[in-house]
Amino acid sequence: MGTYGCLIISIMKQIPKHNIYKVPEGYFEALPERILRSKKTKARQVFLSRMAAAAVLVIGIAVFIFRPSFNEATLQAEMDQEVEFYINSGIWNAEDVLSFSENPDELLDVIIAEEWASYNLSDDPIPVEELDY
Amino acid sequence: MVPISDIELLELVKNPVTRDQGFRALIENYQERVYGIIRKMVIIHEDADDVLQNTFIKAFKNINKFKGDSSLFTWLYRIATNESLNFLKKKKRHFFFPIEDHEKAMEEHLDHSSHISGDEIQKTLQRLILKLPEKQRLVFNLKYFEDLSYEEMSVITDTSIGALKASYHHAIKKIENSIKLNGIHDGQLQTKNNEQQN
Repeated sequence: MGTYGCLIISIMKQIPKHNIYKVPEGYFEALPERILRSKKTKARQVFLSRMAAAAVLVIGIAVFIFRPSFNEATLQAEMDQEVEFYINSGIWNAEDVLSFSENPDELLDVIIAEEWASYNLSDDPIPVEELDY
Repeated sequence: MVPISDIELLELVKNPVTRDQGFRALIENYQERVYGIIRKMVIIHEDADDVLQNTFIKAFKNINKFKGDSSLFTWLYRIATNESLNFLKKKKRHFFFPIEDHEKAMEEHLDHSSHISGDEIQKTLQRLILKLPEKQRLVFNLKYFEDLSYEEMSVITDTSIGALKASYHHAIKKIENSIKLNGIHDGQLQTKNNEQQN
């Protein structure tokens, strides 16, 4: 260390090492109680968060086990009922229902085929007497 | 309050019936010294209070891991210095405020807080120390103010003695340069001290 190194040691030796940092009055007297109280609060928080995590796990398992009650058939039946209600109450008309379909033309073909099935559409010539109205 | 030995203290903590009494004794025995090292790092009393509480709560949580290889005080110092450095790191990482803001807040606290005493020379020294990088500041505080040996510092900071010596040397050099730049000299200091005595 050079001359200035000696100087700094000399300067620092003259600076008393006493603590310049002060605390509010009564701080250390009250501190043990405050820390012990905060320790208990934190312990309670940890306990509650563990309980909450356990509850979430139990609910998750329950949902997984009882999942069949939310099966697709029940859901479909509920949807059908709802659709029926909208149609019967006139909220949706036939065009609305068709427009919801992914392929309305195919649906129309199915409906026409079903309806025409009751008609005799054979290529055989119709007997004359049947044409006699 | 009569201070009790570390062995007695650990006995109290181990027993579930006297655990709280043991924790209370641990705080009472070490609070002022541990607060001192934390305060020199974080400067602001309110921050030091937070870090000190976290230090003791962490100590309670991990007291069963204390093997007695070092003194209880060294072990507590290790937690306290880690907590202080983590606190300062978190302040730096703060998304909305630049780093300088917290450094400025610490400097202003040195200048204006009612919780700071001491003459202008002492405050100037603290301001110069504040300019050091955090780990160097820690090494300087442990050596200069706490008078710890390099062996103890090595346990506390988990750093080799050689690295600590080098760090302390660099810290002294930087403070020396700052003193040079600030124009503080021996005579000026002597005058200040004489003024105070009168």
